Amino acid sequence: MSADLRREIKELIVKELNLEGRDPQSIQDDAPLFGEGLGLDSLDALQLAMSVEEHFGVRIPEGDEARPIFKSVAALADHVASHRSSG
Amino acid sequence: MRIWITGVGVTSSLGLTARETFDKLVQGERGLSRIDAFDVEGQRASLGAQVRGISVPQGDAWSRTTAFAHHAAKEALDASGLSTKSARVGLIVGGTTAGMLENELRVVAILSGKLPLAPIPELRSHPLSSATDSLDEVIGPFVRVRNVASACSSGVTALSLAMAWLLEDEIDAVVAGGTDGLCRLTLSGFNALSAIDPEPCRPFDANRRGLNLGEGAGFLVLERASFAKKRGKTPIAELAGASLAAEAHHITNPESEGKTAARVMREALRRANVTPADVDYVNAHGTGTPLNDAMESKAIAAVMGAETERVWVSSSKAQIGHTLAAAGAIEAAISAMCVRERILPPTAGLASPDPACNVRLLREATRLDRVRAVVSNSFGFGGMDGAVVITEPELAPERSEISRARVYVSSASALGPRGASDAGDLTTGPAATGAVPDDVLALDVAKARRFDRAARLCAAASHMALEGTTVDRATCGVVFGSAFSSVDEAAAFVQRIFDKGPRLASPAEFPNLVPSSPIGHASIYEGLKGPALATADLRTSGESAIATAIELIGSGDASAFVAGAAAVRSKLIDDAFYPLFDDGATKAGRAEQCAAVVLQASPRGAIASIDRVAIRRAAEDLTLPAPEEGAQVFASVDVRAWTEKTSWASVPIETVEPGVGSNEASGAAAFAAAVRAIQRGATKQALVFGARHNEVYAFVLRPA
Repeated sequence: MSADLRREIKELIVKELNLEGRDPQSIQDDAPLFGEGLGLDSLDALQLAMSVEEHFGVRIPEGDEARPIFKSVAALADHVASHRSSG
Repeated sequence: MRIWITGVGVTSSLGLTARETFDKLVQGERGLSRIDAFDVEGQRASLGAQVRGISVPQGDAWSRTTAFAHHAAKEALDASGLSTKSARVGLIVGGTTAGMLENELRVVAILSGKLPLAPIPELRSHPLSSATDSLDEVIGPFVRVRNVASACSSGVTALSLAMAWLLEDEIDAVVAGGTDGLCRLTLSGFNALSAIDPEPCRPFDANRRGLNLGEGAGFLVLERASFAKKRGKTPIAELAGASLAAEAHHITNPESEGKTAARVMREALRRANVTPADVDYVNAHGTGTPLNDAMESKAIAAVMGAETERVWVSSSKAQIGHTLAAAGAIEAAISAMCVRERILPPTAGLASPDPACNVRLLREATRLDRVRAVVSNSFGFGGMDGAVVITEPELAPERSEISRARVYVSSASALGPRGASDAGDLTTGPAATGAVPDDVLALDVAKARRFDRAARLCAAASHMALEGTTVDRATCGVVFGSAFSSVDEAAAFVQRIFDKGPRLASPAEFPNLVPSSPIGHASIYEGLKGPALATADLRTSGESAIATAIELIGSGDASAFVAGAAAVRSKLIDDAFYPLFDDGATKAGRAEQCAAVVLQASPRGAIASIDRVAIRRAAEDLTLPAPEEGAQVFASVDVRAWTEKTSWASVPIETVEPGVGSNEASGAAAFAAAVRAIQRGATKQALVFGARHNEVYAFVLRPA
């Protein structure tokens, strides 16, 4: 499940954050999403949180609690997987 | 020159007059309640500062926003004792929402086929200029009217422009302010950004979680002190200085160190001849968001230096909410009353001051012996910052004004259905229709990833116009006119709220729906740090943007400006809005287009110089220099019916319909075409002429 989910999340990131010309598969599973890495910012984090809720039905908490979840694609996929199955 | 504030008017959730609002502010009352102007079911936060007890007249052109504007503008004028019949009074209105509340369901119904895609009369309340036109009709006629938008600093932008107008001897007084109303779009948008505190907000508090939205209007009557004295009027306070600048940083987030916020405060103080030692109070922007309050505190401390420990700071937003475009004007009115009453209002909700907000925060109302000078701040999306300095009358030595007699043009660009050009080819060929080809909008992919179509057009036209010029980007402003903003996108945003619920409103899309957003994007893309704003004036939106740039260069607010106008393709504009306002032009001519010119104070590298700017309510009232041999008129459409009434009646007219079609923005393209015609020697004197039913703009250009 996790490889598919990670791929889906990468595609979502590229589409929702308008990372035109970026190959979703070039995003590393463990690379930081924000700051360094993809160069995303807090507005991207909000957009990504909304998109994850829309596509997977999983809420991302607001504020500091979101930090570890948004650490990387792998962390986000883990959060989605655990909350989807538990729901 | 001194500018006196001789009347203020405030409509807020605390009260329907300036007096009532001020008294309740001082008493610490909070005008917050669950919003019921519309359905807030499913909203993350629904507490707001809604105006209660105001009646909105029936009729197509009315919205709550317009009703607030009437209420506050009339109060201010009455207090000043002036009337548009007895003096030459101008009107400047800042706004971002206009009739959004009344029209958001309507445009969604149109786009989903439940209402016909047709010019419905009720849509008259939608354009940003609707409040201005309504005020002009009811309490006018004003000698000049203008609509400005710079997001949450629109009110301060209106006041700054009013100061520029008062440098001219054509205007005795200006009614300037802002008005905005709560609506689904802004509530859902700020909620999507997690920017709203679901509880009453707590500016400067360590536990602050965001703002509470508000609504209302604030207007000030500003006049030259010499004019007020002549009629025996004593002022409330003096509007001693103002400054506008852009951060060129991020579309929603402020610079963390508050460098530009500090820059506008410093510059406003410098222009007011006031030092931090004279300042007794700062009425902060103080939204209650974690980023703003920390940034603003740093900026205040940087500007006030050793005086930081003494200067009181409070935010009124915990009591009247963040009234967006009205905020700068309402808070300027409050600041003027602080000077007169010598009482400072508190920061409601402040329990544990944030150590990161290391300024002297007022938690309770305080009476001082004197309130000599007040700084009032406003910071908007797109990094549009502004500050005003309001003082006791004649506190500081009179300002020596920069009043620049001449403004030059150094470049021009145009994008239309035929592609991109230097605007030298707009007057030849058959009338253009259709969209701007995508390949001419090629921008840096990473930098432009959040741009909508309007932002792409403005950034691309700005980029082309700036190429090869020598303007100083640190003091170069940017202004674009747009009659209707991004209505299709706004409708889609609201549709999504209905379909999926407010929780799934798009945080990334919301900032693009703010009318000044394309200009914010262009400012960031090109690194332009002078004043950034939008204008809206229906058919003469292009002319209004260029006039604004000339006025703000003339007053020393900017060294240069990129000025233009954009028209995006839109089903709603083409078929529903434009036919309501087009003053006779045909829908078929509405092509997608954007044009820009570079205006500057320096003659260096100039192509043309601006001989005369005349803005009047009727063509008959224009006084223009006599046309010389070989003179030409440039316009968006055939304006013969207007020029016939002037001394330019027999001068041939060139229109830019071949290059950009005919629409609400094409006046800027006409200006651009005139510049290039002068450059290639085709004419030695050009009149750029734009008109709508009650307003004419004339710019006379000649070779530099």
